[in-house]
Amino acid sequence: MGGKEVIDLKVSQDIPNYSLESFVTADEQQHDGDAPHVDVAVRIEVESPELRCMKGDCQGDYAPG
Amino acid sequence: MKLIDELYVLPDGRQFILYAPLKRTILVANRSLLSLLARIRAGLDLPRDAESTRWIRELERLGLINSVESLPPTMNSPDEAYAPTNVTFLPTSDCNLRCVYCYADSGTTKKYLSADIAKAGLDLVFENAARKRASKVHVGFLGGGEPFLAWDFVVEVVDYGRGLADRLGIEAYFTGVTNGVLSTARAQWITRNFQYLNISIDGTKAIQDEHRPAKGGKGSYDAVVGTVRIMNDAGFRYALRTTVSSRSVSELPAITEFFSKELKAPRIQFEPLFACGRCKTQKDLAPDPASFVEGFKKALAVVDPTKTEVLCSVLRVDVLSPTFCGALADNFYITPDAHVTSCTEVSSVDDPLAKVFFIGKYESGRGFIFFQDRRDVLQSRTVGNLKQCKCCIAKWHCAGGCAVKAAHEGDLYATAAVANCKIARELTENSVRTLARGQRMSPRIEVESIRWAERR
Repeated sequence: MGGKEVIDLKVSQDIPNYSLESFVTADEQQHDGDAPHVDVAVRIEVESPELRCMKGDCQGDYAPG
Repeated sequence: MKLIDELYVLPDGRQFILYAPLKRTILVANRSLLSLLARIRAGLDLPRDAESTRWIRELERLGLINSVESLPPTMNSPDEAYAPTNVTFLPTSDCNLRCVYCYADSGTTKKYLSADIAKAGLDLVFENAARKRASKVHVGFLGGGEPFLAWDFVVEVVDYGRGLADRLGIEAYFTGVTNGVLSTARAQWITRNFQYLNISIDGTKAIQDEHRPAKGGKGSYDAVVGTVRIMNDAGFRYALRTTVSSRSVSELPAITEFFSKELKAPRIQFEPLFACGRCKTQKDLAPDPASFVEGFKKALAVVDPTKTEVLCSVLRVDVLSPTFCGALADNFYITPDAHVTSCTEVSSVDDPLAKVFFIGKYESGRGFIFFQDRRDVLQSRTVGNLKQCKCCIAKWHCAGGCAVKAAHEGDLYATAAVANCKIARELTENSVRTLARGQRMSPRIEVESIRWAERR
């Protein structure tokens, strides 16, 4: 058990593919004649994200299950 | 021109949601914009029309093109020797409850940690903190048993830790995890001496008393609710921590409503039961992941997201990390028999996983000694080393999930139980969709929406 190689997980799962290339191809033309467009961009602001990150799950903010 | 690597796509009707976790940015865009991005990534010639040119410029401004993409920092200092600046004590394996699913099967032994060894642990972390100029030392008390059964130990250790903190000018931050069966005097003492408490309670009276009976078989609900009310009266910072079983999963919205409205809990953490320890042969007690996800989404809808946090350890959109938790980093937990474990879920030397998670021990005359080879193995379990996480939208948030649960399944590097993996993915997707609509989902997370003029 161990090593730093890239590890293949033993349990196979049907994980969805979220990659850009799974939805469009690079040589695809503009879809339905639509010009590229972004409706909205959302910026996420997180209060003290490092706190929980540094504390890990079991340093008080979370308890194990 | 280069597109960032960490970009995940969710279909959303005729539109698409693009999630760039490392840039803390979400876009809602049309298919033609996706095509444009794919061309950029493939290094093909780009269209020169006005709209394409405009969006390339905007995406550059948003940091999605031609931008350095910094990976989240590890929780370790890989070039330095192990020198923890926080410590958690597992004061006893004894327990006054007999929870049906207890991971530690606690209460079957009655081992207690010596206060002198705990003080040696405090000396070590405060010395490290002073050398590293850390401003705060976390001192935790948690499981393997009910920590506050070792009451004299807790009082002595807190007093000693506070003395060190005062002498060195470092803040001591005391936290605990408890089953909540505490006397009024002890609960009030905790509100005066700790900074944070996690209280385990599984729901309404019927659920709590079925899941978490006292060792004599009586229910524990009334005592735990009494403790919660003491926390509220003192204005103390705490969270409720709820294990969800196949029997309680359908009740999640009702439990959430009860906790937030009746008990006034500011934070509610739901975790799906994992069949190990006392219930390792009762796999049917674990909730179906789809039911858990459905119940959790409904639970989110019950609370005011600006006031109440509803959490699950694998749903952490606010956290960016290459590892799931400190068990794979710098955790320094001292067990009742003076071993050092990186995870509270492995607290007995008889546990087969002790060979992996026990990273040191205390020896009289030598102090704490650490097993660097074991730490190396644990530290290698980063999400970058888990191939199946490579394209997952939850990658930088759940970071491969709980290593102990994976090890229970037979391989430290296996997925952290398929059920939890599915839950992490689907709840992260749900959060990204919520945030894409500009809606808040937690008091901790703010969203700022940028809208552009209608299409020209």
